[in-house]
Amino acid sequence: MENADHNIAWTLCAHLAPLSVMAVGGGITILAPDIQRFVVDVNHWLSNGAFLEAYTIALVAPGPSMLFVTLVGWYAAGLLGAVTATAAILIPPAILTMALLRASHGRVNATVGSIVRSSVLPLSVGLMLATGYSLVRAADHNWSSAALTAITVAVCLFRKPNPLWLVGAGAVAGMLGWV
Amino acid sequence: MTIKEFGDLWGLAQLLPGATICNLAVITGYRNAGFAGGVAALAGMVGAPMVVVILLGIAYQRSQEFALVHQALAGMSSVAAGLIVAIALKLIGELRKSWIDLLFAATAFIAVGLLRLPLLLVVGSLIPLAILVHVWIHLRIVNGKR
Repeated sequence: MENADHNIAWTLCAHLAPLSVMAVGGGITILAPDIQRFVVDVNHWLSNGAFLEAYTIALVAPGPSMLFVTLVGWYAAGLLGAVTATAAILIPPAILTMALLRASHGRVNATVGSIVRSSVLPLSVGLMLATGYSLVRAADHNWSSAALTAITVAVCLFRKPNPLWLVGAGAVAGMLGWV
Repeated sequence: MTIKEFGDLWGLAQLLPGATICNLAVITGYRNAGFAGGVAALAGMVGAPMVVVILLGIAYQRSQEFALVHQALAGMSSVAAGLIVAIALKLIGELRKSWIDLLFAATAFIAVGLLRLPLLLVVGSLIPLAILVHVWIHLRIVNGKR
């Protein structure tokens, strides 16, 4: 059992480390579909429900919402899994950041910066939509939960609510048995 | 640090891969105290929240026999999915001027969302392509001005 946890933790770590530098455009969220694919579909370490739990709990917890990776590691392989998964997602970008600061003193050529920015933005938008789609597929099993998602989208597009209020409203709707 | 400097650093943090907020912590730490500063800032940023998130995970697992808790999380998850879809739709609105950008976004969505191809493969091949295309666009604009 201990040994199995060890293997899972390191396999997950080896998958996440190269993935972490693919998190272009500002967030780890866009990695969610691939992490879900790897831990749920390919390796069956977590159920779809457990993955979704990890995502939602990290969203409402204080701190960066990228810590869903910590919970995925925890569910897959206990404390070792939680620590190695988090380290794998944090350390490569941190090293890259410090290497760039060392090489350039924090000044990036404006043209290079703008080309990289405009190249990366469309990809991160497509991946964000893929993340939304994956979460919808995992979360919405019936018309009422799909309606809750649709209402959330509509409210966000036409107002600028604090997301935590919406999540709170979702909790209430769930407890009332609407979902 | 001035506001202008902070803005520049924020821009840099967003440009680099990884979570913007974590990159910003690393940049700030590194500028003030070198490598150790960068590591310390990152550890400070995620250390305590990591413990909290694990405790919440344990608490949730322990309370699963209560249907209400389970139902509340289901509702929250449906909202969480909607939040991401809304962000994506707003961002697509920003891209609509350029059909090339829309094409890149659509390719990334189809490959990762619908076909469920490995993200490493998809982004690893689309980023060089996107940079090539944008360098070409940039050169055309520069040459056009002359």
